[in-house]
Amino acid sequence: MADTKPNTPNNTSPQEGETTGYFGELARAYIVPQMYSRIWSPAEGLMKGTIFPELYRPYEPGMRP
Amino acid sequence: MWIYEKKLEYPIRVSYTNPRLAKEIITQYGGPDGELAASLRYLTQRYTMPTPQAKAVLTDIGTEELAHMEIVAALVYNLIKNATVEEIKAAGLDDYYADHDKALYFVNAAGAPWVASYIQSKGDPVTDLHEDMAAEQKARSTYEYLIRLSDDPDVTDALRFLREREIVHFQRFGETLNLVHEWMDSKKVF
Ligand SMILES: [Fe+2]
Repeated sequence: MADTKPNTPNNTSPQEGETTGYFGELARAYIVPQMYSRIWSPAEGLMKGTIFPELYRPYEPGMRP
Repeated sequence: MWIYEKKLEYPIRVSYTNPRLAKEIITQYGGPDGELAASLRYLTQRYTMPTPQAKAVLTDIGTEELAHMEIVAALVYNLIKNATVEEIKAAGLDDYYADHDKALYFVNAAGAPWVASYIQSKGDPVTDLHEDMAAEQKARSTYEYLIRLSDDPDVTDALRFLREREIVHFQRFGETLNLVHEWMDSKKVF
């Protein structure tokens, strides 16, 4: 492990041994990139606010994030 | 430049005259986390984005926020256009009425006018994109509060659409942040 470069995924805090599983650099934000897959029809997308099922997060009053 | 389409991005209707709900929803017209602030923020920040793709994302989302501003304006106007002065008084909208009649104006729910200090344009793309992601979350929260306040299912339907768009925008700004970090890494000289 001596030749491990900085900033490689899953290697930021080797002492803790805990990682997100995605990214490794501290002090910056990451968003998991969307992978293009299945889409809804334009009509259904308009009703829902997105054509991407994986981005659809409907809200019901009473829900708290 | 822009091309105008004479229709709303999402069709709206309101069930009945409801100046109280208009007073609440107008914050998404001219409030701190509203659609005017969103559109002007992104359309202004785009000049100092470092890559064509980042500029394009801010242009596209800023343009869509203008369309959302129009949806909010249509909701507010349709909720108040047939209201009597008595109904406006009962809803607590008489202070607004004294200055604007039933015209649209950029204020928050408490009547405070829109100010440019609601937004920032920092010249640092990482900083600006963090603001943009936060702005999307603040707008999402506001739409959730408005959904809780709404007693009109037709208005709630439009609020749900607008809220979902904020979630999609958050994802797009996050992906843009990733791209900007990659671009910065590619510029590093060791
Ligand atoms: Fe947005």
